[in-house]
Amino acid sequence: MSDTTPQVVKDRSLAAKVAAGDQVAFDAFFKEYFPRLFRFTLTRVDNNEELAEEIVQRTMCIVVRKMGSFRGEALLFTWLCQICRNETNAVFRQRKIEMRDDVPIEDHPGVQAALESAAADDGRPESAMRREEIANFVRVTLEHLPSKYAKALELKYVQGCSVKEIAATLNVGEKAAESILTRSRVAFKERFRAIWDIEPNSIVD
Amino acid sequence: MANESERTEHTTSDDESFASLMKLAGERPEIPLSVESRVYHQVQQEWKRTTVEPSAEKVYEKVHKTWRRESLRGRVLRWLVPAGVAASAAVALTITAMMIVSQPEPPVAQVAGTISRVVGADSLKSEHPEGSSVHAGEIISTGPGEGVSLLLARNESLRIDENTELRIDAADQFSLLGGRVYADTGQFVYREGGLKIETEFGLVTDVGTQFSVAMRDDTLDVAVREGRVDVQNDSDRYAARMGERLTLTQGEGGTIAVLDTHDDYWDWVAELTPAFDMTNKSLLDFLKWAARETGRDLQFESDESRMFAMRTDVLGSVDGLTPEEALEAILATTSVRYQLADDKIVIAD
Repeated sequence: MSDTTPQVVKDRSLAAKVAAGDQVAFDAFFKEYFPRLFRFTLTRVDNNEELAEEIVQRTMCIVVRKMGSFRGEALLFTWLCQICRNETNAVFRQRKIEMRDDVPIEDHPGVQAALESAAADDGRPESAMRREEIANFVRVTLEHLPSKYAKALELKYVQGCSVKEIAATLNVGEKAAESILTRSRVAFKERFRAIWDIEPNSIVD
Repeated sequence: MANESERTEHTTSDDESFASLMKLAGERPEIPLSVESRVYHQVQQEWKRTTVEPSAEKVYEKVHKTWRRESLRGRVLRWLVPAGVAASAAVALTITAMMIVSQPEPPVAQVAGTISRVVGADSLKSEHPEGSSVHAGEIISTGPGEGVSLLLARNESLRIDENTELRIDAADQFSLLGGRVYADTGQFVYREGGLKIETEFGLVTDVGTQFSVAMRDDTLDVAVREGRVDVQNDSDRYAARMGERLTLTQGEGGTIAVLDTHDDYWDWVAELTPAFDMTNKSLLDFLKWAARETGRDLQFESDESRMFAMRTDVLGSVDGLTPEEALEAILATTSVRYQLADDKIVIAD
């Protein structure tokens, strides 16, 4: 399946193969979604790795059981996240952990305020907290991207790798790496806009 | 040209903003490989259970069912044949001959482990002599003051408390019909498949651990001394970790409470501890075993005492002793001293 195939089509195909018992498809599913879901969960459990492990395991066990019923009305990751939220609540209830709030970070009313005021960052101590919040929003957005895209952006902008190095890491040619980078940027901005309802660049300009 | 220049400028500025945003997020946290391996293993098992490969138990069940059906058919035929003798002796002979040829053999019961220790009445000891095998399909029952310790394949230990009824379904699968069991499945977290204990409250599976499962009246208690245990029933899933006790009450769901790994709750386990095999073992090996069996950490006050434990071989036998009694007996013959703190065994020069 080519890179230009819509994600939802790829998801449907992957889900059907996993449901049919295809080991290669199962491994591809786990490799792609476990790290994203784990990091997604970490942001919801105060970076408690043990809790995240328990929640992600519960979530993925439910998903593999229900994989045959996935029809592709939403992206596979969106479906995983929804189940993950339910499981997070279930685990919190079982462990009597007080939920800070049961509103997902994406829907939290404070997010918009934080994002909108970020442009006016004046270097005061409270700004550090705001920067950390924004960093969290960026991380959440990255987890909503296919892992290859998130990896490409991390290599380029965080680690400062050259296109050649990115190509080598992703095991593709240099032209393909450039193309992945372009698509990653577009995908990131689209996802950021969709989740947070704000232009990503506007908060750091 | 001007438009081109503006576009380039805009693109550069756009890219810088983008880069700032990404830098702000920093590198994403690394996920420990151990976590990934554990989750992979558990999810893959669930996936296989629900999609591919029927499990060994299911195959056994199916074969057994077929065998029972065939046997029953044979018995019915055997009864019908004499009734038809008057009508046709020749036909009856043919049918009887066919039955003899096609009578299926019962499946051979799978060896699940061996009896390593028995505490209590002589009748129990003669019923389950130490060293004898136990098989799938057997039910082990203990009365007041009795206990049985099983050594399973992969060197796993399963200890059956007093007033308990346990059915062996397969080498790694048991049904707790009532009472309490303790399992020590070692520290090999990534071994293929965990131990499964079926209860009326759901299936209890481990992830490399020491844990107990108790079923009394309308309550299931799962206490974890090391590692993690998952419990799954039709409506929910639970996980209990080291130092936790999960209680499921019929119709009320589950709660998790703290339970120290060296709490009195675990005392009954000590008497059924399989003997420590001292062959080619150092004092350090012995101390690690004693620490694990008593739910404590091992701590050395100095490097010298650790080196001493590494270099000293242990000799003799501690058969019949509890881990704490064995500790006292063995260390009495050495120059090191020990102290039992709440959560650790401290070794000093």
